Amino acid sequence: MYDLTDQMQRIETITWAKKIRELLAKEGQQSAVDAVNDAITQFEADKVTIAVLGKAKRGKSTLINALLGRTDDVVAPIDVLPASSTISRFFSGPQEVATVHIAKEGKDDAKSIPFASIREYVTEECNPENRKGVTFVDISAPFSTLDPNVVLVDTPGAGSMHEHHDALLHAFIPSADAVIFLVTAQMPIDQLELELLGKIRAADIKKIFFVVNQIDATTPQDLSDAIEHNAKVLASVGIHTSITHKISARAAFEGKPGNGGLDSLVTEIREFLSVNRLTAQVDRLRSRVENIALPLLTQLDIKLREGLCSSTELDAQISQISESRKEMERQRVIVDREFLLEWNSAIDYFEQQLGKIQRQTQDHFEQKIAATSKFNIDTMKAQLPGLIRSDIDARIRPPIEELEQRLDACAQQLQRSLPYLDIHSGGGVSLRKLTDEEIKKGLLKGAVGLILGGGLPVMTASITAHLAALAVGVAVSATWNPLTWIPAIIGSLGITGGSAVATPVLAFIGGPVAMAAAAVGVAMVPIAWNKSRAKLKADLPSVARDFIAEVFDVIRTVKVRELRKAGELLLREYRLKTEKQITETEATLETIRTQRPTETQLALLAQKREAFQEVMKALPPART
Amino acid sequence: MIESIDQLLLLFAATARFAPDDTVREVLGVAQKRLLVLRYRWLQLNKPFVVAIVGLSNVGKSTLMNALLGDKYAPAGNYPCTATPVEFSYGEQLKMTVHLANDFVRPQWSFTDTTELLNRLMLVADEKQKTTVDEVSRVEVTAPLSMLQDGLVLADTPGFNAVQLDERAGTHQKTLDTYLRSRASQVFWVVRAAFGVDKMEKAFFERFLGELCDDIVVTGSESLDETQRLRWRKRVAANLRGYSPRFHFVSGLDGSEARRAGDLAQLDRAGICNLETQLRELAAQAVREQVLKNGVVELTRQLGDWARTYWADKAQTSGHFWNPPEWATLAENCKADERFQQLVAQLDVPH
Repeated sequence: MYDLTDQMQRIETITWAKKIRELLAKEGQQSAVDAVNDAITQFEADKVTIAVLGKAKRGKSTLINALLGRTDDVVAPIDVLPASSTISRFFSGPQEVATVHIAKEGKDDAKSIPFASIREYVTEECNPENRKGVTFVDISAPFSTLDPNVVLVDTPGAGSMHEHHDALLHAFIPSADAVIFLVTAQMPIDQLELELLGKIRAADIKKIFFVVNQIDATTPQDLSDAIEHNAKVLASVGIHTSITHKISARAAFEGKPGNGGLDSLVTEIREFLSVNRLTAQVDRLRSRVENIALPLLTQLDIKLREGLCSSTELDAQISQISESRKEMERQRVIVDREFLLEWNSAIDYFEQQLGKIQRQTQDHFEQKIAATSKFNIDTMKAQLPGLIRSDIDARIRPPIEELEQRLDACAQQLQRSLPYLDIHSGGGVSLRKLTDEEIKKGLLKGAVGLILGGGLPVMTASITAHLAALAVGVAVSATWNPLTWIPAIIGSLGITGGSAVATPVLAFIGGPVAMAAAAVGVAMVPIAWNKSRAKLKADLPSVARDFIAEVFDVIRTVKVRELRKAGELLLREYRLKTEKQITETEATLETIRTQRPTETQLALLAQKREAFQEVMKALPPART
Repeated sequence: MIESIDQLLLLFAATARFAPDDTVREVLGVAQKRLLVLRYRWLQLNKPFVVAIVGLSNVGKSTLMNALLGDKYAPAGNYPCTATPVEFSYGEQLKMTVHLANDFVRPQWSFTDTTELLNRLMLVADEKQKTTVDEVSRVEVTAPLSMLQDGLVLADTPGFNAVQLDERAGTHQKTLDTYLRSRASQVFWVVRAAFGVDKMEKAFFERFLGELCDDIVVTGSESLDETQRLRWRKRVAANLRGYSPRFHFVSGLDGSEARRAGDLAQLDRAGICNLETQLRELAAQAVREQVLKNGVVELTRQLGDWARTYWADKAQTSGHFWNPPEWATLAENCKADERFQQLVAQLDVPH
């Protein structure tokens, strides 16, 4: 099956992974050992795991049945409602065997079931909300068209209303070697599908087969429109598809002539297997093991560097840290005050602008109403709330943008006072501030060292969390850009669906303007606006004025106040975290000083690190 | 009626302010919210009744519009395409008016047939014509359609959740949000039978259900039989806890075909006739009025039941559940109005 060189490479790769497993075991990292074991077992089985992924109701199970050469849906049930609720793995084997894996009190409990009962465990209908606790189901049989080297995997639909499906799915994705990404020809690619692709790429899976299903339910024009649109969307996130397979899984499953266009997909899978099987597997094993081992290597590194320092050096470090800490304490009051002062004065200035805008808006509408003839006053009355709202929206935009820039500058200033725990290459640690250059370049990435207080990512997270908590009814998404916190909030304050709003603070303050206005409008319209035309014309300016005042009042009393509070909360949280981390670092150093590692211990540590590094580097590059 | 609602709101607010514990405050908060929804809808009674057809991109909103209105009135295609809300209302003449966001000038066109209208609509509403959509807040179309004769306004809206490719990413969603909050009296939610309801749809539902949306239109239902429809409804309803929307199973494609061919039997089979009846009923002011009145009566009945049980459990011997001054005003006002007396009787908590 493999030639000699290939065999050698397989053995080398396994030996490499086992060595790392050994090192991890010596360090007492049991969960890491288990994870490496999983990866090795999968590699040794010498099977390529190909998972079918996509949203619910895209025809994943139908495609699986077709690829397995089944004529019924016993092994992969199909329904008009989202059916699959768990991960099913299909193997080629001599007999019909199905094994359900159930998580019982933290342990894996496997039991054999007849094919006829598979449905009871793998469908949402028979196992709602996974009450039976199924983790996955293994099914093997002499499937007529399943390559013996392939494990085919059926998955629950991503992003469905059944939220537990996503959890199962996301945990599974890293163990796939390749993915069949299934979309429908009837809908354009959507946000949830992009999210799923993000997960696939985060797991470092190199091979994705793109498949458009349900081509029998659409016209050729719509199909080519959809494919063109999808290609553009994928290109915008850096995925370039050379081939998109156009299929009808249903036609293939029903055994219609032409096999539903599945043949081109099967051919590409075969080619992938013959050319890339070994490479794909070695790549997967390497990246999985590396992801498990790297954090431990870094830990070892830090320990050793500390241990190599002499007592005097350690003392120096400790006193340096405590000096910096005192210095920071001294400055802290000033930094805090400056931050809050600037934060609040930015908001104060914005509030002044609000007053100005309010007057402008009021004047504008007074004139507008005055210029309206008595006969048009009814129309004017009806349009007024809408006109006022959009007028305020337009006027409020520039000062909000300015506010945003000032708050951004504020946060940057605070970041400059962040203590940075420097881990020197020669050994030892020290506490210092980041230079402007480092902040700009984004030192956070790749540098050895810790920014205390969690650095900007944590700050950003907390700003995001605070603002999100304040903006009622706005959903939070989990992503943010660590270095620029303002754009970050755009994402998090976006309305469900991941849409970006023009500016974050605008979303926060301006967005709800419309709602504030709507709420006020409901209360005002019936009371004041049912009048005779002459009276209406006379009264409308004052009604408009009151209406505008109410809207601005809501912005002032609710939104601006919350924004002020956000500054304080942010600062407090950041200070607390910094304090905790400095104390922890001091404690570590103190321990090392009082319990100096002996020469032998140090030598052992150095040996360990070296061995570790050696092994990590040792894996020969995969053949191409 | 609006006076009664306002009086009840005042009573709830005053009682909540002096409430003995959080439970009462919470329950009254919920009651206020429900009452505000009824109040909002009551105020809409005299306005044009705008039903917004809402759903994911390409879910078949436009096809459904065509099934309801006949001919081709809505631009369709297999990419996210309706970028701006389009309102259809009754008029002797085929006319189109464009409402701009920050201007009172409203470009207007008249047409002799729907092809001209559609071409013009494509220019304004199609995503591919990027330059024009920014300032357009909505488009109004009047047409001599019998279905709209009673004052019903049907609105086709931008689909959401598809990935927008231009630099104005996310604008569809925002346009839709603003539009629903400012114009829509009610929302009919369109989902496709074949794809079910996804996470994003559910999140959107939960923001509008109850307030604006009572109806879910399941299109493409020709593939489902009766049992399957029942299961479909049960599954989705179980995931929308706390709400009980009406489900309408229809086939947009069969419907628009039947409309073109004038085949009423097929139109009925496609579920379009039922949907039309529902829409017409809602459009009738008297029906909506009755529904709202019933809503207020039901709300006070339930709240009164809860309050009496709560008060009895507390074994209160002194004091009042309701804020005494507001209760007195309510009692005073109800003398004149028979219906009001019923509300008050339902709410009464003996002390």
